[in-house]
Amino acid sequence: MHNKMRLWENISGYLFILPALVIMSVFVFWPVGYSFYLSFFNWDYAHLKNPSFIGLQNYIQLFELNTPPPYSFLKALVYDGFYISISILTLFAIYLLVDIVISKRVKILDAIYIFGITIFSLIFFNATLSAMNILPYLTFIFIAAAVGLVIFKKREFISRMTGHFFTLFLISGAIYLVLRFAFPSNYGIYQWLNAVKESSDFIKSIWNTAYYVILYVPADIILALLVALFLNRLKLFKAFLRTSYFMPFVTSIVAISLVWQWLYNDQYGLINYFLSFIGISPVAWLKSDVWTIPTIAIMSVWKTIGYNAIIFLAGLQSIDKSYYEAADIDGATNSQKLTYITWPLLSPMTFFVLIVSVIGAFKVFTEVYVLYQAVPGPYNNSGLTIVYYIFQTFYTNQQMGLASAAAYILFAIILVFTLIQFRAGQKRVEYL
Amino acid sequence: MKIKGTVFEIILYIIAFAGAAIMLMPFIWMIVTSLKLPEEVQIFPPTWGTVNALSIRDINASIDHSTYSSVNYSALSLQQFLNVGQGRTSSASNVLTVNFAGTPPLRGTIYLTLGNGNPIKYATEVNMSKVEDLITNVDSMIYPANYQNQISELKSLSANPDEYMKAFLNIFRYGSNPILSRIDFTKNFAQAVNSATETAKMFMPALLRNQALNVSDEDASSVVAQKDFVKSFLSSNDFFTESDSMLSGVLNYKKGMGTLSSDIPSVEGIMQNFLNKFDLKTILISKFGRIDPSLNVLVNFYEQRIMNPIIGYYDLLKSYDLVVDFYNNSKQLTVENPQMIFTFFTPAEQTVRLEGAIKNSTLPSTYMNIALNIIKAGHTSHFIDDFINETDTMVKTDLLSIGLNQSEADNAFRGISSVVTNMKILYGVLNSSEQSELNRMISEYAGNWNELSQKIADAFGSDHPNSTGVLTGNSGQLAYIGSGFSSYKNQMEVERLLSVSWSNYLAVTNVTDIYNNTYYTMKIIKAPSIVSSIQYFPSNGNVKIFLNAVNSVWFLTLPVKVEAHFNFSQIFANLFESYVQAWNAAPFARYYLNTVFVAVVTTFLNIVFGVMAAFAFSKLHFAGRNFFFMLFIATMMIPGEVLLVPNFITIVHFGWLNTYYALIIPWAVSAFTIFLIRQNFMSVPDELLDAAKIDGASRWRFLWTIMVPLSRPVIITGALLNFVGSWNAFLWVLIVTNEPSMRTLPVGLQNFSSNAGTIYNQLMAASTFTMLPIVILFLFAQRYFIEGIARTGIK
Repeated sequence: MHNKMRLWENISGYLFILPALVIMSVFVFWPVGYSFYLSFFNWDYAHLKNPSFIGLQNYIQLFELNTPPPYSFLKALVYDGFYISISILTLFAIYLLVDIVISKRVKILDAIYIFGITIFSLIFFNATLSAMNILPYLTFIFIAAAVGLVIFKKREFISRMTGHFFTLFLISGAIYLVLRFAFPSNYGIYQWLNAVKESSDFIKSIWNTAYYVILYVPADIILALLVALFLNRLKLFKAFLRTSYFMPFVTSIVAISLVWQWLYNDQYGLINYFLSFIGISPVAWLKSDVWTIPTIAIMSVWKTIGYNAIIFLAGLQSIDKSYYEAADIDGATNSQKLTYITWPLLSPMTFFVLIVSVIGAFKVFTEVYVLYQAVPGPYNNSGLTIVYYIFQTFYTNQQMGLASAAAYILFAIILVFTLIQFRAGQKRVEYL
Repeated sequence: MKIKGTVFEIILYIIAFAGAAIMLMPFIWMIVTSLKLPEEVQIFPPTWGTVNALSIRDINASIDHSTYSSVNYSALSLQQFLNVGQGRTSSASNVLTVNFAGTPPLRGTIYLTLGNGNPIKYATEVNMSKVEDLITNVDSMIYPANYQNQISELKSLSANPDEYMKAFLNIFRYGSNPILSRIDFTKNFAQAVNSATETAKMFMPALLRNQALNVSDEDASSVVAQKDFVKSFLSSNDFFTESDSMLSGVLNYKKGMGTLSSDIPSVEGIMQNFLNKFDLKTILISKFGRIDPSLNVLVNFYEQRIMNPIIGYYDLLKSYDLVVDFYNNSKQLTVENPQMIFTFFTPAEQTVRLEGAIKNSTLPSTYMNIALNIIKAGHTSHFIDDFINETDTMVKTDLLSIGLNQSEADNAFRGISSVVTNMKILYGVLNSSEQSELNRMISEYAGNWNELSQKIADAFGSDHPNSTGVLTGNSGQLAYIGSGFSSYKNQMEVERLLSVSWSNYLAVTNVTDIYNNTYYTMKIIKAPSIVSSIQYFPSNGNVKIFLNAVNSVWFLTLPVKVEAHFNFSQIFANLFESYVQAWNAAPFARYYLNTVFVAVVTTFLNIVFGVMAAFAFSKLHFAGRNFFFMLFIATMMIPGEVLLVPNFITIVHFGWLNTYYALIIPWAVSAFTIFLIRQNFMSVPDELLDAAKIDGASRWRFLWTIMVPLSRPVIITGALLNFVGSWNAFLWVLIVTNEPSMRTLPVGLQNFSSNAGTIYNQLMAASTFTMLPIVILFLFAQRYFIEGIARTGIK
């Protein structure tokens, strides 16, 4: 009897999920695997009836360069590795300094080690770069760093750093940029990609998409946060403001792109008209390849700012009022409340929104397609994004295998960010 | 402190509202653009208002002069010239054509005033003797070589003074290269003056040395005086300075509005000034009474080589004066109130009028009946097409009735139509007597194409070899297609149907004329008595005013003032004109249908399947529950683009391309919806399910009668998000549909935009009605949207 009930319970459970399961299997589970499978096949217009297995050839073809790069990728990697390791060391040095200042104690050994290496590297930076072979220096640095980490794992200043990966990332990124500008060099990953992107459509698409993400995401997040703060604070006309910020989100991207296409018109567009009020001469938004990605980014920010603002608003409103009340009792100013209560308590949500935005931004396609009327940018593939590349390869050129390979690369990129979010999400649970 | 806080708040409000304005600006601009007239769209700086909203619209109008302007008279033979003047039916002499600039109004009442609102004058007959004098005067003048032919050709119109003046005005003012064009006239005049001065520079010293100027003892004192005068005349350099100042004076008039005609008095004055001083012949005659014969050669040389080029241009202006004076002085009759008010007939009125016109026409009775039947059936909007269809059907049934089978009949019909097409071309180049000859031939010899071919070749082959050559001869259409009929048993009967087809063609032409005349004739509310009828062609903005036995030449020089007046509902229709045009330009009704259907079904399936799965994942216990749930959640991490290629292949395999299945089924389940609903279901206490089980309710019933109503807000949110997502979906629809009949709104809109190019008012209108339903839905269901979105943030 009991078993029969259990059986029936199981069966009914399966029955309930059956339609969803069937459709998911056919249109999600199966394609995921099949796409992976396809990416190893040469299946295009010429081979419609008999696709042939070609292994990693598709992937190699994606990254194949039409013209040889100015120098090898390895060299770029090595040079950039140099910059990166120096910035990490500088990061350590900064934290050590902070630790010394705060704890008012100096651990001689640590100090000598970190400061010595850092100063040595910075002074001899130029010499190192111009040397024909930086590999010995690099090796030295890597070994030193590794040794240092092992020895100093338990030290205090290291512990100050753990758990704040995002902040560390930002600071070392800033140091990296400073180093790059202070000690410029023609070699590096960025320079290599910049030179190489013209030789391979896929690399160009990755470049364009990355550029778009870098433009769109910070702007969107920061502006959405500001809007959320406004909406949270202002009492009057809340409904009207909320509606007007959110409305662009529900409208069709096609219709919006058409309207923006008209706004961006270089002779009669409203944007150039408003710019003329502040003395800026008309910009050929849609006809210049420099502006391709920025135009899409601006439009996307406009479209999704409301959506993100609402999420932030929900987050703001979920912060316990008692924190603010306690702060008020302690006599905190508005900016103090913002810095010490709002921002820290909101940062998990900010991070979540950040990752979701990045993932969404990588999939940009329709905006380009409609804004530029079925062409990836005015010329030179300036608007070719990864999904556009996939679309072109698959729908126009009918190269199914190649398109699947490109789709999987996209998947891999997005997966990285998803996993970052996942881990951060788990950490967030630890916080609260 | 409070003030600082309030000021801060106010600043925040200002910023927030500025931001809201930026967010809404594109929408507002979209709507504003969609309401504009086409010519108001692409202007800089852009405007926020539109003329469409006005009840009175000023229309930029002018008299149309193009009737003669495209003809270069000097290139025509006389015969051709006469043909041009008289052979054109659409430019009959009593028709005055007015052109509207910009978009012509499609409705409303039009107020057209000739002239400035003051009474205007015209004439119905002119004094013929005065005409002869005028033409003689004009002809007697000296003109520059490049204009001489044009003006002398005009003499051939002397029998018809109205046409003469019309042609004169066109040559001088209104044509494509008018004589009085500022740039051309001044340029040519400068050339003439320069060549005259060059000649003068070269020859005046030589003339000075001419023997004729030598004073001999026999000369009378008057002669001596003459010669001295001429000598001092020729030796002064005033000629050159004066001619320079004259030229620069005339060149001042190079810039200005319109043609030189408005500045003729001043230009004439400048020239007159010069001529008075340097026209040697006239000066000598006025000073000395006559020119001494010994000086004749010299003076003639001077006149012809140096003076005449300049005099030619002076004469041009003078002859223009003459004709215009005559023109103005001939106008004896007055129109007190030269304002016309007219409007469109209503469709009902049009039907009645069309019926009347058909009944009163010269159509043979069979055709009249066909036409009347079409009108009775109420299909006047595609009247001509229906008429053509009916007459074609006549021929087709005849073909079948004489014993051909369907495919033979189709074949024969195509052949006969092809012959008719080429006969039309021949018909078009014949004159009216030849045309009736051709008609007779066709009706008499239609049964035997070989004979018909011979007759046509004999009658017209020599005059019009090209047009007849296609039809006649061994390789002509009649022979070629006729031979194709030789296998049919009733070849003669088949061929005879040519005459039916031909009379169909004549009837169609007749009916089209009647239709156009009826359809485009306007209802006159008020007009001067000289106006007999008015036709208006909104497609090209032309108004044809038919005058009662008055030649249109009398009104050619008038300005025209036009206003269109609209009542309230007409203004409304004007504003939304772009919407109507955009809607009709692409199958938007179909797109709407598709989009609504797909969105509704997808949402419905999503909710049903989602609710079922969410229930199972939250309340039921079965083996592998967590595994499957994780699996479903994991799918949220997979970007849809990865699934694009395989899903497309799957769709192709199922044969679902261009069907609703492809648009709905892959999206019938959404992990996000399942997740969302499950969250909500989890918060429903398990005890409820237990209680229901005790009461004997099945799980299914429990789900739909208890769980779902409890979770209504979340389900509504899920449904809304799904609906909007489906409505706005693009990439997938783009890939799985390529037939217009299966497209949804986004893809249809994008397709329309690539066809419409830069017709922005229509594009914006299409965008507006694409997003309108969703916006309305959003405005009413805001709460659900925003709460749902907020919920996604708080996991």
